[in-house]
Amino acid sequence: MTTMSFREALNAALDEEMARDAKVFLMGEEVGQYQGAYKVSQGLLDKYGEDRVVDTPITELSFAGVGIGAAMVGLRPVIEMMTFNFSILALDQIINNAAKMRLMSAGQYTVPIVFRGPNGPAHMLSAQHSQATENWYCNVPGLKVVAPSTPNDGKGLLKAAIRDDDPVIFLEAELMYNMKGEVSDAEDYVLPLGKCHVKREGTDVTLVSFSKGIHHALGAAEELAKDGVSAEVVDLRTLRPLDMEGLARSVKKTNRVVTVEEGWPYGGIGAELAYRIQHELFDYLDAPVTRVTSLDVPMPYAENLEELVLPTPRDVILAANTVLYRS
Amino acid sequence: MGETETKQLFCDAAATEAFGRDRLREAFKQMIGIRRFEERAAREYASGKISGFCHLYIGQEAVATGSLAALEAKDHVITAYRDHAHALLRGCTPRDTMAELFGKVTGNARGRGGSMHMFAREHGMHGGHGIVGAHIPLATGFGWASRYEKRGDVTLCFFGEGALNQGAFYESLNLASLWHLPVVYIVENNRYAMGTSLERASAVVDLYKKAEGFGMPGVAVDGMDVTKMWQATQEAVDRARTEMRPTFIEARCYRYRGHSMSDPAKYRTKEEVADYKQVDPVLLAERTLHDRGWATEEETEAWDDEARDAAADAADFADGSPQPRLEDVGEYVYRTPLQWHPTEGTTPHHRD
Amino acid sequence: MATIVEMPRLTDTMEEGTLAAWLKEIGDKVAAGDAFADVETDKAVMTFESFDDGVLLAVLIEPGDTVPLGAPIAILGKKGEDVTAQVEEQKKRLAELLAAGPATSAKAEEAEPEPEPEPEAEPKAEPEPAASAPSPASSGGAASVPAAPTDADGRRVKASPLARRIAAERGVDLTTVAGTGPNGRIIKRDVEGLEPTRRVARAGAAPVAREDTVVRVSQMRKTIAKRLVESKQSAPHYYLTMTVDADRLVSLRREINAAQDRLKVSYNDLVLRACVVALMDHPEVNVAWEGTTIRQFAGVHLGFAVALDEGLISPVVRDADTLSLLDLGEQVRELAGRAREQKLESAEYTGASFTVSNLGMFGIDHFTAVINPPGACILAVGALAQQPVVKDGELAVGHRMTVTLSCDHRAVDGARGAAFLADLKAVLEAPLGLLL
Repeated sequence: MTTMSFREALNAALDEEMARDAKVFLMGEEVGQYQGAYKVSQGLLDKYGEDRVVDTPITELSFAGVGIGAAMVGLRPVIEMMTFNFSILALDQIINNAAKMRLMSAGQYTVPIVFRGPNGPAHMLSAQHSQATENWYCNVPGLKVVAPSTPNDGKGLLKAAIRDDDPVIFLEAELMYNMKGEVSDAEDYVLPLGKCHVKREGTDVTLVSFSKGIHHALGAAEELAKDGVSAEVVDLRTLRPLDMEGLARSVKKTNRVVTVEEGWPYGGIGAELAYRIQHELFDYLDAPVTRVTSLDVPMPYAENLEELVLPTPRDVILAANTVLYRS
Repeated sequence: MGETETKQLFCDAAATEAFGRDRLREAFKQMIGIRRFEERAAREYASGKISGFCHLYIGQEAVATGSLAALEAKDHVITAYRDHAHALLRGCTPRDTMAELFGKVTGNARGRGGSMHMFAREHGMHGGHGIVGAHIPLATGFGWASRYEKRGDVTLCFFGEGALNQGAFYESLNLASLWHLPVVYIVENNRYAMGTSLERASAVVDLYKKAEGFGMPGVAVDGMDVTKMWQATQEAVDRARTEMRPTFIEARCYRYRGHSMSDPAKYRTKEEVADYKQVDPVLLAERTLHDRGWATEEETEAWDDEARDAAADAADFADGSPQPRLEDVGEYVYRTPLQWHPTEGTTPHHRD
Repeated sequence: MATIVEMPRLTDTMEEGTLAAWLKEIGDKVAAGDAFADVETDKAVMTFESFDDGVLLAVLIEPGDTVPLGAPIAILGKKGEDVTAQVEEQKKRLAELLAAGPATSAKAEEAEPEPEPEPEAEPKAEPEPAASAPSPASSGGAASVPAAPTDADGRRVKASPLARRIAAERGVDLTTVAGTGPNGRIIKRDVEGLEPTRRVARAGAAPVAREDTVVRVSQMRKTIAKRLVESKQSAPHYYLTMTVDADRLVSLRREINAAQDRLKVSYNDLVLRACVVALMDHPEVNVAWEGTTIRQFAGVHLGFAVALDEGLISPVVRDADTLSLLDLGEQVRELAGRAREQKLESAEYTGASFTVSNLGMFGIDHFTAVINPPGACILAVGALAQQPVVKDGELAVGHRMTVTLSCDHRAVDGARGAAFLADLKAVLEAPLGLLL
């Protein structure tokens, strides 16, 4: 294992996959000469040249479409969205083209494309730069959605996403890029898509989350442990397709669930998890599934308001207490 | 006003010479085949065998036929939803095209696509797209892949003049010029985007002039003349293949039917339609063949009969074909579905 | 060869078309593509261009006619061809299509499945308290055991799915469990350590096929039941309770029984006699509600409750106010005996102006009874027992008995009922008057 930051782990994944397969190329704003807006693609232009590390004008719709077209005829593009806020401009391409091309053509096309970049709120970026988009993409059959929470997972899952033959939405988080963690030294470290991962074992309550939310959950678990409550933290890793089997193992053990996410509540990831859990695991529940989300407001700029809006480990603890019937 | 500039009774002499006897005979056969197919499709729609949208190419046959004659087997074609002709010209048969219109499993997209989504990937026919202008970036992506792997192939990207005002068009042509991509962008200017005439939608109606804003060559062509379409496209295709530079072609044409099957076409006069019928591309080609002795009346009539027969045969085939199997509803969504299945997260509906 | 022209689908949503105008006349040559007719559709008036060549030989509809898609509207053929047969045939076909009702497209012909009727929510019946029976018994033991969580309808129990499953697996009856979750929800920790409820079969016990016992209701029970239901439902009952110092009653009984052999006088005899005496002073309580009138009975017709297997029956001593204590006692015994043998005439168990029900022999402290019509009141008598009492500011032991008077508020209002009860108490506490 080697200690490295989340961005370094992603960089390593890109590097390895581009070295391994000439069909893989990276395209997006500032990915080349600028070394990446968040330095995820640092050094790649020097190594692979401007044909494979492509700076684009500010045209999300068309470079998403160019990537999809290239994928349709055999290449394996990685399209960087500087942030997923801007992916909204490319939604038509992603949903109407990438997700649906295979079905409309009865399987004649494979679209092995990855759209990656930071998703969700960061710090004081205000409303238009704080959009959580994971639930929108999860709604669409034809897409896969992945959201790693650690450097190790980032590396293994990005490699898997690039190798996957279907369009993958790969969601990172700006505030995680500096996070350090142990990363596997295995020569070709690939994690499976579609499988969740228990980040912390426990018996009393299941905290399920993904991406940055995992760290709120882990923080809450630490605190709860001091009070003798043993929380199990389940990292979804892949949001679509969901690993209900893995999740069920945890729920059957603890009988109580708290979901954690940074997006808005209506139709968020927690909403889907709550439906699936109560539908498939009804008789194992000792309490209703409870979710922790941000408040239902566009993100304000003021620091104190943003702090209020965003979920924290404390919110997770309060939710856990509710399902544990502790005061 | 954007009318065809020459009301001639024959195809352009020089272009016809260059096109040659064999190719013109072939082009006529293709165009009459498309014409009879589209007429039969209209009839099947009126009988309820085809449902949803159905956009007919009647009147525009020369645009696709002429331009596709400039291509090699490895080249790519992509268009919007008025795509039956492009499909028939590039890898699809009347049978599998009609079957796709009928929503049958024997269709070229196995009934999953319908009128607007005809595909034949192996022959370089990449659809068939429903969102106006949204396929233009895809075409640009084909050009990107061609350049990336030095494949030497060329992409023809067709769209209507209504798509010209979409952001996707502007972004794509800019990228094609900037990155030197081998794409020929062809706007099939039939003067009406559904009910809105070009004059009411576009500040500039000489559309080929927009090319200048992208730093690429632009040219207007008589889209009713199959030889001129071929000639202009051949020039652009050569430029793309050898110089890696895109071209923008404005094909001035006309559609004799409404925008789609539901269109009462109240936005243009009967006189205007009659006017354009004098320059029916199929008639132009036929007359030219007869005039030059490149084909006899017997021959062209026989080809017409064959075309009608092929259309009738296609309709019978489609009618007798089965729909897709219900249990296959989840097919073709993912290449590697993992544990996904189409009923997940749903309350299964039991049809006991 | 004639060609039948049918109404075409000119828009994607049209289901029928109205002919606006023919654009060709009979005898005209029609070429494929020619404008044939103007048709009004759901979207606009569209021009129908002919699919076929031929001469227009016949039209089957007129401008203004509305026909469904596919209906025959005209016939093309060769010039001079005779198509009268086809015209007849097609007109018949057209008539059938029109008679079939509103035009439907192929899609609409699939009948819409009938929406399933909503299953009616089963109304939860309010269990009626049993006939002049006491209010629900508290489970044996201290009164501090919390009652099982119940809803207004007395049935729904709130429990988490997990708790239900555990309870089911262990044979625990959820209605006996107190829930510590929000709103009394029973949760896992409430059922985890519980033993199976006695009434419920143990989990895992092989269920033996057992049948419920069904007994036909006797006519008598039916009648009693009917009348009690009527009484409870129509008379607005209210209840007055009093505790009587029974010390002197105890000593009087002893003395009476020591002084004669004719009848072993019971406390019940003394209570019955006391009621008669009190009623003689309160004729306004010895009444019946009759809707527009109140009947004040001439005499006291005293009903007294007797428990039979068949049910509770109240034989009536007519004109009890004319009887002495011992006479009354003898008649009560005689009636009760015949009641137990079910040999009472109906006149002997109806018409009570006042009824007494005594459950003191069961140890009941006090209870409320259902008024036995036609009377307007019933007295429920509890056990006579020794209790700690206050005498002259000091703790002592005394005999006490609690009685509860149910009154029909329509006939006997609170003040009257209270006044009667106060006098009854006075009579019981100075019981020598019973001998008069």
